[in-house]
Amino acid sequence: MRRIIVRRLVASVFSLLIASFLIFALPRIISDPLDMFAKPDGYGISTETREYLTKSLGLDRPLVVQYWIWLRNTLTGQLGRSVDNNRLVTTIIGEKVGATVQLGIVAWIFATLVGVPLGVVSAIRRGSTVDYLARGFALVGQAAPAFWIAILGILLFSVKFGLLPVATRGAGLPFTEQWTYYVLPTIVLGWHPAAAYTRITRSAMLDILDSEFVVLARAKGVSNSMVIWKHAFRNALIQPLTLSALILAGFITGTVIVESVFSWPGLGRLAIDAVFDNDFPILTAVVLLFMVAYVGMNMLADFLMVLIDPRVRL
Amino acid sequence: MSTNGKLKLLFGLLMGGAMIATVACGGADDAAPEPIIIRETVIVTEKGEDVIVQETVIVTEKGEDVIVRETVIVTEKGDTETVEVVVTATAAPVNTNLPAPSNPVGKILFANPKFQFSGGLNSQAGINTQGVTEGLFHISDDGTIGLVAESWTVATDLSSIDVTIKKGIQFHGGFGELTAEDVAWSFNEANPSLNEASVTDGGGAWTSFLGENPITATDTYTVHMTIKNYNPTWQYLFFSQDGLGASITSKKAFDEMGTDWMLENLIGTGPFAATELVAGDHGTFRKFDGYWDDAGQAKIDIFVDQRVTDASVRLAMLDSGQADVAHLDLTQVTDAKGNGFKAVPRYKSRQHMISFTGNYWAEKKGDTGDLIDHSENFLEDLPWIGNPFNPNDDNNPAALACSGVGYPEILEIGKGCGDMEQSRLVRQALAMAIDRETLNEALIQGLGSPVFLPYPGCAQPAWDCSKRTYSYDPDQADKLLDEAGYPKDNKGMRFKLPLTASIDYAPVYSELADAIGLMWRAVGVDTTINKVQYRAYTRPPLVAYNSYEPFLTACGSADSGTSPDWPTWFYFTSLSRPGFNCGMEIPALGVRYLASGEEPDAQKRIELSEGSADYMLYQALAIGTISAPEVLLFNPRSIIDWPMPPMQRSTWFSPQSIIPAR
Repeated sequence: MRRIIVRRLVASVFSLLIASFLIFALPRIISDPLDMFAKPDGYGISTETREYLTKSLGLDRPLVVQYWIWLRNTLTGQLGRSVDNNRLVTTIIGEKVGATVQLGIVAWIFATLVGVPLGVVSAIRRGSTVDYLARGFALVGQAAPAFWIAILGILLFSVKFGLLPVATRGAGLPFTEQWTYYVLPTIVLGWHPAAAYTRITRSAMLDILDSEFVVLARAKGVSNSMVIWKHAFRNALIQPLTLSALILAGFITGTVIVESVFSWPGLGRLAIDAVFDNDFPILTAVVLLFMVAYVGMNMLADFLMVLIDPRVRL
Repeated sequence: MSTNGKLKLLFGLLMGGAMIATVACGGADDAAPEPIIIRETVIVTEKGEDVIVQETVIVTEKGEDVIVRETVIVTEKGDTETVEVVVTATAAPVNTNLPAPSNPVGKILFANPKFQFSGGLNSQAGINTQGVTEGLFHISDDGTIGLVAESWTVATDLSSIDVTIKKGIQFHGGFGELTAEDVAWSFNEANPSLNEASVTDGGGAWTSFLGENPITATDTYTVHMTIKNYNPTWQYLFFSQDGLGASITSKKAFDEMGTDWMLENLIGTGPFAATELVAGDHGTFRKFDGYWDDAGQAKIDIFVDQRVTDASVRLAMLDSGQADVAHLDLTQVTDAKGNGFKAVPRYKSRQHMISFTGNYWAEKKGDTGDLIDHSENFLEDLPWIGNPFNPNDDNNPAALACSGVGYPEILEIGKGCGDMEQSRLVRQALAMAIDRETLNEALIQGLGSPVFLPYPGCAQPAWDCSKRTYSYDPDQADKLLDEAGYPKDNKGMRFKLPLTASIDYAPVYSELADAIGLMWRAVGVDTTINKVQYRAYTRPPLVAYNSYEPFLTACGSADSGTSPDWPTWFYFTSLSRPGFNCGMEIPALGVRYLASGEEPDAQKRIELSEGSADYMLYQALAIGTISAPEVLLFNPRSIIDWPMPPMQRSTWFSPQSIIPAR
C-alpha cells in the first residue's frame, strides 16, 4: 500500500515538473512577451520602457535560468504580475478561483445526484420505459455539445419563459436571487458527466446483478431492496466513485465553454483571455493550477481505488 | 394686479401648459395615467420682473420631455407665490414585445463584449469611459471645453502650456480636494520618459509631446507644461475624457495606500465611484453624491459594466430584460430595432482597412535621423511590397524600368519605377477589385458605408471622403495586374497572397476577409485567409517591424472621429519606432505629421491631411473597405435616451448621460 502511494507521488511530481517547464517555455518561445506592452490602439512604448521591462521581467536571462527563478518563486507563492495590467497574478487567480470551484462543486453534486440514481434505476428496470428514458438522457448528454445546450437553455428558460437569468454570476445579489444564476450553468456543465455516471453505473449494476453472489442472495430470500442497495450497489460503486474524482477535476479545469457562454467569471475564461492576450504569467499560473488539480485528483482516484478495491493492492 | 389675480393667471398658464403636455403625449391607453405634480415657487425680487415658470415633465413610456414654460410679468416686489398644477401625462402604447427590466429602479446593466478594467496607474485604455475618473478637458458638440480645467493658455511660440483647474473638486473615498499636484503627478506617471514603469497606451505620444519635461504644479490650482513637440490635438489626445489611457487620480491615495492598492482600486473625481472592479468580468459604479458639477451629475444610481463575450448571449440578455443596454453585432441590430429596442444616437464607426505591411520605406528615423536597420525587411520579392532601396529586381516588366531615379525621389508621386511601381500597380488593382457596396449590404446589412482610406473620419464635416475613391472595376484590376507583370497561369492565378484577419478585434473581420479573398481570387490573386488572434499572432511582427502579410484591421484607431485637422498617419511612419505600427514606414507621411504638429492654423493642417490622403490613395498602401458602426441598443422601458457627448477613441462612454425611464 505504502509503496503504491510513494510511487504515485513521485510520478505525479515528475509529471508536474515536465509539464510546468513546457507551459513556462511555450508562451515565451511563440512571441516576444514585451510586444504585449505595445497596445493595439496605442502609440507604442519607448526604448527606455522596453529596456526597463526586459530587465524587470527577467527576460534578458536564458530560458532555463528564467524557469529556475520562476519555479523557485512559484513554490513560494510568487507568481508574478499580469503583463496586461500589472496586477498580481495571485490576486487575479484568487478572484476567479472561487467562481470556478463553486460552479464545479454544484455541478458535481448535480451530476452525481442525477446520474448515479438514474443508472441504478435504469439497470434494475432494464428494458422498461424508464431504462430507455435514462439511456436517452445519457445519449443526449454525451452527444450534444455544451454550447448548444447552453444556448438552447437560454432561449427556452430565459428569453421565452423568463424563468431564469441569461448569464453572469449575479454578483452583489442576495443568495435568494443569486442561486437562480447557477441553475442553467450547472445543468449545462453537469449533464455530460451525469450521463457518464448513468452509463457507467448502469453497466456496473447490470454486471453485479447478473453475478452469482446476487443470485445466491436472492435464492436465500434476501429482500429485493437489500439485494440492490446493499449487495449490488455497494459493489457497483467502485467505478463511479473513481470517476467522480476525475469529473471534479474536469469541472475545475474544463469549464471554459460554459464560463464563456454564461459570462461566468472563473478560471476557464481567464485562461482563454490569457491565451488571446499572450499574458504568459497568468497563462502559466492557470495551467499550472489546472495541472495540480488534475494530477491531485488523479492521485486521489488512485488512492480511492486502492482503498475500495483490495484486488488493486495485490 | 392683485396677488389673487396673479395666482390665478399663473395657475391658468400652467394648466394650459399641462394640457399641451397631455395632448403631446398621445392618445388614450388602457393603463391608468400617472399624474405628475408640479410645484413652483415664484419669488418676485424686482418690481416689474419677468418670472419664467419652467418645468420639465418626462413622459416615461413615450420617451419625450414636455417642457411647460410660460413667462409671467409681475408688478409687485416681494411677493411669494406657490402654485401647484397636476399634469396627467397619457402614455403612448407600450411595445408589448419589449421585456420588463429585471434590474431595480436606478440600476442600469450594460452587456458589453469587453470590460476595460480601470484600476491601475494610468495603464488602461478607456480609463475614463465609466465616468469614474476625469480628464482636464471634455469634447462637446461646440468643441473643447474645460472639465476639470478652469482656464488654459498656450504660449504664442507653442513652447509651454499653463492650465488652471477648478477649485473644490473632491476625490472619491474621502481622499480630499483635487489639486494641481494630483494633476501633475498623474500625467507624469503616464509619461514613460519620466516613469519607465508606465505602460500607458500613449507611451510613444507622451514621449513625443513632453519628452523628459515633467508637468509641474506652480500653485495649488495651476500646472505648467513645457512642450517638446507641440501637438494641436493635445487637449483631446492627452488630457480629455476620451483620449489616451491616462487620467487624474489621487496622489494622496497612492501615497497612503501604495501601488498594489492603486492597481486594484480607482480613485477619481467623476460622477461615478467604482465600488467593485473584477478584471475581465464587471465593474459596478455608484453615483457619487459629492460630484462637483450639478449639471453633470449622474441620473442613475448604479451602472454595471458587465462583460459578456458572446453576442447572442448579449442579445438574449437584452431580450429577457436582464440587460438594459447592450453592444450588439451589426447582424443583430436590424431585427432588434424591429422588436422595439432603440439605438444610442451617437456612435463611432471603425473604418476597416487592409494594410499592405512590409513597405518599410524610411531610410532614417523621421525625428532623430538615426539610420534604420532593414536587415529583416525585403527578404523576399513579394508582389505587394515595393523595395525603394533596390527597386530593380528580376521580374519587373521592361516598361517599368528605372532610368536614373533613385532614393528618395522614387517615393514621390509619379516617379516610381521598377519594383516600387510594380507593387503599386498590384495594390491599386487589389483596391479596385473590392466591391465595397456589396460588402456593406451583404455583411452588415447596409448599416455602414464604403471607405477608401483610413483617415480622416468620413463623418467629419470638414472632410469629403467621396473625393478620394477607388472605383470597383475588376476589368481594370486585371489590366493593372497584367501591366505589373503577373500574368495568369493555367489555373487563372497570378500569385499567392496571404490575407490576415484578426478575428478577435471585430466580429465582421471573418466574413469580410472571406469576401475580399473571393473578390481578389476573381482577378487571379490566389488569396489564402489566415484568421488569427491579433495579440498573439498579428502584433508581434508589427512591433518587431518585420511584418510582411497584408492584414485587415482598423489599424491606428482609424475611425469616424478622426478630424482632418489632426496630425494623423503616425503609425505609418518611422516616428512610431520602437512601438506599435501598421507595418510600414512612409517618409512622406512622417514629414507631414511633424509639420501638422507644429502648425497652429487648422486650415493648413487640413491641407497637410489632404496631401497625405492623396499620397496614400496613389500608393494604395492602406486601402479602406467598409466603415462599420459600433451600435449600442437599449430597452426603452429602462432608458429614455443615452445622449453621449462626441467620442473619438471609445466605442461608448459617459454613463452619467443616461436618462432613465424609471
